[in-house]
Amino acid sequence: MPSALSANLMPPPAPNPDPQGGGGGGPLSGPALAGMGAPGPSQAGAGAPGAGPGAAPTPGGVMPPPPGRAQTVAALRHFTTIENEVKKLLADPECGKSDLRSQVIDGMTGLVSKGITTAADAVRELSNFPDKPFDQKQWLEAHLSQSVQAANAVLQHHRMAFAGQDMPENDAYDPDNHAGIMDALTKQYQGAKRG
Amino acid sequence: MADISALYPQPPQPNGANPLSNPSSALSLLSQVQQLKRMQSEQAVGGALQGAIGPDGTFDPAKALSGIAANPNAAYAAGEGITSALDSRNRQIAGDTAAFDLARGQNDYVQNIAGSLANAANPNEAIKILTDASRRTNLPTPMLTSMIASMPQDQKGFRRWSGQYASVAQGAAAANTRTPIVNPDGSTSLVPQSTLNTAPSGAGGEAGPSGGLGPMTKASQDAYLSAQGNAATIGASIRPLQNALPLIEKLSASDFGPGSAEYAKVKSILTTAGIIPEGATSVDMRQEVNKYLNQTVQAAQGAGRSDEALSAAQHANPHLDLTQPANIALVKNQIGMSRMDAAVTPAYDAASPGDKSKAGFKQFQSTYYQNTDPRAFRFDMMTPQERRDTLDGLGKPGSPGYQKFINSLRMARSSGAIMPDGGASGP
Repeated sequence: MPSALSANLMPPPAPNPDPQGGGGGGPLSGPALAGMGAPGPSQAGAGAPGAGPGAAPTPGGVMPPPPGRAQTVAALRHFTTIENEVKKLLADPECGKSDLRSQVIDGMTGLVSKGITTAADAVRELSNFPDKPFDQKQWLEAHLSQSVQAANAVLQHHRMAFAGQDMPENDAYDPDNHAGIMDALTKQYQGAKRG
Repeated sequence: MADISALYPQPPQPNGANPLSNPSSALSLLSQVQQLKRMQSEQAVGGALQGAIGPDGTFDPAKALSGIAANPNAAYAAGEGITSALDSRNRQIAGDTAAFDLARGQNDYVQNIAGSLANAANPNEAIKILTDASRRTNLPTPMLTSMIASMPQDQKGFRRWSGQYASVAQGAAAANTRTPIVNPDGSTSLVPQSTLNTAPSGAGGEAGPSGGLGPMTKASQDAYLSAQGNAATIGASIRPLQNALPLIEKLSASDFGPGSAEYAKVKSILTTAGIIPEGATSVDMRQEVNKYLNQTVQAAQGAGRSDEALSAAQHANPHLDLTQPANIALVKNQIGMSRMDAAVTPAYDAASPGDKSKAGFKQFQSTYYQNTDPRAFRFDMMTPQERRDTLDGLGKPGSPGYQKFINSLRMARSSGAIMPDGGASGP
């Protein structure tokens, strides 16, 4: 267990580095997206006209195609909703001192009711929730960090790939298909990582 | 033996003569002095320019020019130094202008985005707008994601959030414009538009460009206020006619003529009401009353299709005498329609006592005329025989027509369009 003093000096550990073994993204972990980071200049043209939106080979593997507008809106809604839920939990004065499992379950239920995650994913994610209050706080901090990074990364990837372009009107976000859009986006990034 | 050292090159011997005695030597010396002076001057100008560079690295041309002016050593290179400083200033102005234009363009776009956000119906649409903005502006990505994260997800909170952007888009002047609203107690007052922008949504929680008040709520409130204003005007315009109508009816009575006591009484009342001029003869009186009735029925507000029908009838009969009994009924009908128009706001208040924001008024108004029987609004002006005929024509109690009339009569009474005892003989 990390000491209290060193906890903030270390980068937060990924609470679920390889969730579900490729069975789709967990509700909180932002699989593949959170670790992506902002695309570098070489990635900028991945979806630019001429380069085509398809994957481009890079020395490190296959570059993921940039997210479209619907995917970006879905990802932003997804991660900012998680971010707000996690912030609420972290703002609890008891966070890090007492067991927050029931509050996390409530928060997860809220995410399920908003269509951000499925019940099965929520249960799977809760199974990784630590027992000790301090670990719980770290878990929440890690998810907050990942959510913020993932939201920034997806939006940055989208803006650099399609800078100055109009998107097709049919590329619209459908809240009723949030899970489907996020699943496709996750696979898009995971596929690029594996390639 | 000769001194062999004489063969060696001799060192230059000091010339004790005045250097100015040799012209070429003097010119050479002068040139050297000038070069020294120029070097010193350039150094002074350089010092002035250097001194004009602030701790943050910005260059102040005015300070550089002052430094050059204050240092006499800078005289030689002052011209070049001044030119350099002025060029620098021009470039700086050009750069500032370009930066200003860029910032202005960005601000315009941000203001447009704010306007779009104010129009966003829900958080998802706002996220889409910000996603589109990311591709078209240089707004930092973390700033955009922070805006999204700060966006409340519930409709009420979202309206307040987007309302703030509505105020940004409208600008300070428009945001501070006083706008009439209906208070919870039903009274009206003026509040700044910015307050309305961030106010919670009205009934239905629909979205709107004005932020807190959705377009439907705002339109409904406007319609309510407009109908209230019309009601006052209608009431004022038909009141003299209502008072005079029973007397005017007597003009058509066959046993009513100049010289009778009734005639003098009617004439005095019509004169008091301003319908006929003082000293009018019996012919004048009939003509003036007829003219007045024509003007009244033509000017009636909100008459809608009935007004058009009336106008068509009058055009088809240029010498229509409204004092004839059949046409008196037409005037009564017009009064009833006007009362019905004036009663729409009190009728709505009675039908929806809980809607303090009057958000549902427009919907109520759209079905008001279909659901209301205008005969109820002139029931007090009917003769006993007309009332009986009207009631007999409604069908059985409980039938749609009967119920519609009863509801309309209640509405007419509760709104004050007819006096409670006006329909005393009615149901």
